[in-house]
Amino acid sequence: MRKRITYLVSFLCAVVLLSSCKKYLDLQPQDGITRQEYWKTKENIQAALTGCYASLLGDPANKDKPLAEYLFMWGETRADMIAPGLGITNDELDVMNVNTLTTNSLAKWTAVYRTINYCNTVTDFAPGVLALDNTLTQAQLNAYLAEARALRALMYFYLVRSFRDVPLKLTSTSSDEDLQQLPKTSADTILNQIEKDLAFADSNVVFSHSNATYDKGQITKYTVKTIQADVYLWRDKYQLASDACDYVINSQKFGLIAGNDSWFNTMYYKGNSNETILEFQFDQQKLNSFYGMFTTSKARYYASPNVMDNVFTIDYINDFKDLRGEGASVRTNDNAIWKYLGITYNQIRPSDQSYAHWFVYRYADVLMMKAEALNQIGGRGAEALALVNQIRLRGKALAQTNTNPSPADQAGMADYILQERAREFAFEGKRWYDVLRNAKRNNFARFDLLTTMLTKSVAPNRLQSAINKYKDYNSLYFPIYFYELQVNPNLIQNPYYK
Amino acid sequence: MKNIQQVVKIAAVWLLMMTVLAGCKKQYLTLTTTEDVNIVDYLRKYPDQFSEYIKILDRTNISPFLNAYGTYTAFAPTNDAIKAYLVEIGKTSTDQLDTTTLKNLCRLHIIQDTISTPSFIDGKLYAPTMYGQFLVTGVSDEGVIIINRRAKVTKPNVLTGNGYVHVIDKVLVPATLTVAQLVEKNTRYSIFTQALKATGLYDSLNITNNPDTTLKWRTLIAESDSALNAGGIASYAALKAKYNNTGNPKNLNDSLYLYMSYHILPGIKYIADIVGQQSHKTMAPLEVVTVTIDGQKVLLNEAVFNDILEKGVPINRGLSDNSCSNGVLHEITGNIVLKIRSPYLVNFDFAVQPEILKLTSIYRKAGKSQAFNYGQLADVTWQNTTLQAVNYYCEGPTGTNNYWWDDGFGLNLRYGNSAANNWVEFKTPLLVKGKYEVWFMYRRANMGAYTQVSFDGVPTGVIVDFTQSLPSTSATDAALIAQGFKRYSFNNPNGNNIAQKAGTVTVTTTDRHILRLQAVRDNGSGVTQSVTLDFVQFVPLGTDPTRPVFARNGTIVP
Repeated sequence: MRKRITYLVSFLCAVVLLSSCKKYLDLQPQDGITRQEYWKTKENIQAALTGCYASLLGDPANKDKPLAEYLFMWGETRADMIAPGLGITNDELDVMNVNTLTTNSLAKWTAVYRTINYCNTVTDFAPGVLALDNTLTQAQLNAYLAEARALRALMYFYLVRSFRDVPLKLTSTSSDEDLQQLPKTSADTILNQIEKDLAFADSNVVFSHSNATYDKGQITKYTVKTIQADVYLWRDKYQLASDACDYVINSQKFGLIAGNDSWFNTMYYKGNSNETILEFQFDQQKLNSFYGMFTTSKARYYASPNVMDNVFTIDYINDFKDLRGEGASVRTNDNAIWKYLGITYNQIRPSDQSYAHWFVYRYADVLMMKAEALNQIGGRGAEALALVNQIRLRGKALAQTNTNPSPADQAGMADYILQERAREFAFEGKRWYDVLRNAKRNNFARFDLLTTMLTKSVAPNRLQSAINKYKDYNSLYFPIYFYELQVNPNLIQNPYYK
Repeated sequence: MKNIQQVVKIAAVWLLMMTVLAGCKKQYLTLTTTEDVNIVDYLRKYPDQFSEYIKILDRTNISPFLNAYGTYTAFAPTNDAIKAYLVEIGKTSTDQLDTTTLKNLCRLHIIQDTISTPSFIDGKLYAPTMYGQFLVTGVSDEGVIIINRRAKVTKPNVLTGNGYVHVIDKVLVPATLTVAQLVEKNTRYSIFTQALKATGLYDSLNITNNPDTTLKWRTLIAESDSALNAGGIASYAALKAKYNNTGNPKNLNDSLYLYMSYHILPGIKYIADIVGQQSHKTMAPLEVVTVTIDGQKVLLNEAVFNDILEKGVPINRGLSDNSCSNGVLHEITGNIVLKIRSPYLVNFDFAVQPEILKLTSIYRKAGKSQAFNYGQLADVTWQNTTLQAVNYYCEGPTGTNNYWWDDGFGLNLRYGNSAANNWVEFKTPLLVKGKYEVWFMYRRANMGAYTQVSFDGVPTGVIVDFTQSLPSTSATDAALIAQGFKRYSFNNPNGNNIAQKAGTVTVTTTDRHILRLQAVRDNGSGVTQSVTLDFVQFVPLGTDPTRPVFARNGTIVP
């Protein structure tokens, strides 16, 4: 009897004890996958890269504004092509009136660093996969790394143009031990790193992802060359910039979309056209934030009257129109920014179809960058002029916007190219950087470009203050957001904002 | 038993002591609602920077209220600033200054409002200091904010419990010279000063704290000797010879007196205030200067009169915005003169609003129309701001109506219906002062039978009926005029497009004015229908209103 009881008790104990080997005692998370478990196959790397690209479309946690919105604000609010709408925020108005304080939310850089961190995660952990996955070759690994590093370079390039000196972080923040309070790195060092990353990407990245859509939304050899051209142009390395452009042009993989009736639909409504080099590919699942920004009763931005008056200009006599103006960049009924709203020149997207892509680079940009570089090299003005006229011809630019500069007149040509860029890339987040690049050349020899821009964008009773603020060149770059300074004592504020 | 009682007694004493002792514990309750310091406490935290300023604030008894709750903006000079100021005035310590002087000095540094740097403009702050004078803000060539062209803001926007502190590197000094004294002091303005003295205007510009507060501030736009020389006036004698027509420059009707008073604006107007409005009244009766902005330039009196462009005269920004104890002094680079202008016919097409002109896909394009939200047209306002109360439309050449340029302007106008719109106001083009007949060119429709027309807020006395057709198609022009009607269409004089007189108005100043259409009685039509107008004519009194007539293709047929 006693034996039986002993057996029974031991059996019950066994039931209780053995069943307690439940998973809840396991420290591995149930609803996710840990890093140690993740980086095993090349498909994992691919998925992680897709994550990097996905982060361009918006904050995965949905707490921050999407990157494209920041890029629009950084490229346009300080320039002369937008006007405030009813929904404009005080922060945005302050930036327009050159009153940026350190508390201004436009100076948040988290959206960019988020993508940088994703890229860093790939560069940190992808090499470890090589030992685990026999199907992954070194070349293929390098191709993945090249994409991550090129994307990281592009992100740093935005930061360096907007903030100048920023912290340079090239390793991922994957655990609490990785949290670092980095000081700022000088713009030059960062630009060197950008060039280094791009050089690596240049020699390792794929020419194509074997899918036309992927090629427009992910980094290829041609994307890398285009970013290089832009970086070289920013750093006044004109021959290198021109060579990089030539590579893209000579590849004959890209062309200008013909300026006919379907031009707007092909390029801006559908996106991924033959002209595109890199786009943020919003779609039905991931809408952009432009609908609310540009067209509701609380719209924050409209096209400035200056855009139709002076940029595209109006032909009152013959009624000729710049293809890129009315019905493409601007809906002239109410000055809505049409590029991101239209299906055709007069049909608007419904709010649930607001997935116009954000254009990072187009083939037109390559041509215009080459023109700018050639003009600066000197003695090649005629080639530059031909490139600009190629763009003008496609865009049906009006005769009155043709300043007819002599190819030998470097300053006149520079103005002409800059003006054409305003038309071609209206509202594509490039205007401020274009003007700043031209203004800062040769130690701000063309500071007047900035003051002219101010006369068009700043209220007359603030104009003189704004001009004088710009005379401190530090003010041309955003401050470090006050929160970053609070959490990182090693950061030093831009001296203008101290 | 006794033992127990003793134990109880001792226990009771102990308990009592424990209670009492425990009750003596200090209770730490937070009695303040915030730990933010107020302005003076903030300054006290940094004696190395502000001890001198604190000393003055304490001595003048300003610190108690500046540390109390309220809304203030304090400009705090550092110790170095105060030392430099003492050297400037030849003193060694603030103790050598009397309390009143110090009090005034402090009051110049305090504004009873919270103003942070984004509100700073190229001119005076919107609120005066407690001393009564305004502070002028700006940005120096190095990109630093400067106050009164003197002190640099070294640490802006320190937010304290009761307002902002802006640290400055120089003491602000009240302006002591009057406008008259300042213009006299500067040798650039010798001719101008002589003329001010001769006309007696000098004295009126030399009064500080005028008991009549409407006359307290003055803005003088001075012309330098060189500007006058360039205008062909070499000396005061020449100026007098040119304008002094009555012999007595002090005569209020004398041209020299008027010339000089035309350079004085009532009120205190810095450049930033001048650019804020399109025109400003001057001290010359019923005369205004108009303002145009061209890039960075501020031009006075640029205007198109009778289709002729008169170039404006730029203000010399570098030498303007000089604060005085009773106003501000500006310099203009050329001559602004009063001009005798005679009224001329103005055809004010409602559709020619700057915003509509830019709608190239709409403006004068056959078959197009566009309704406007409140706020989209700068020069048109209306009562019901939720409505798109005005609508621009252009008819094709085959349309049956006969609008000038084929385009018209529809207004929602109805009395006594809250869903509709009660009135619409238009800003007219520049009208030269004089008397005009006002004629409305309209397309007869169902609405607007009882429309009162007001000019600058004064009703013309005629109720216009926009539902009326021509009283008689066979009547002569003169007979129609007598009834307050006329024909204006070249293409179809007796059609539905006709003109009705809305009375006579007196334009008192050469300026842009407000024309208002208001429904004063309901004529019971729908909410959405509209009064259909073509344009409005200001016909100088004494000219024939029947000519010219207007064609659909835009031609004006004399």
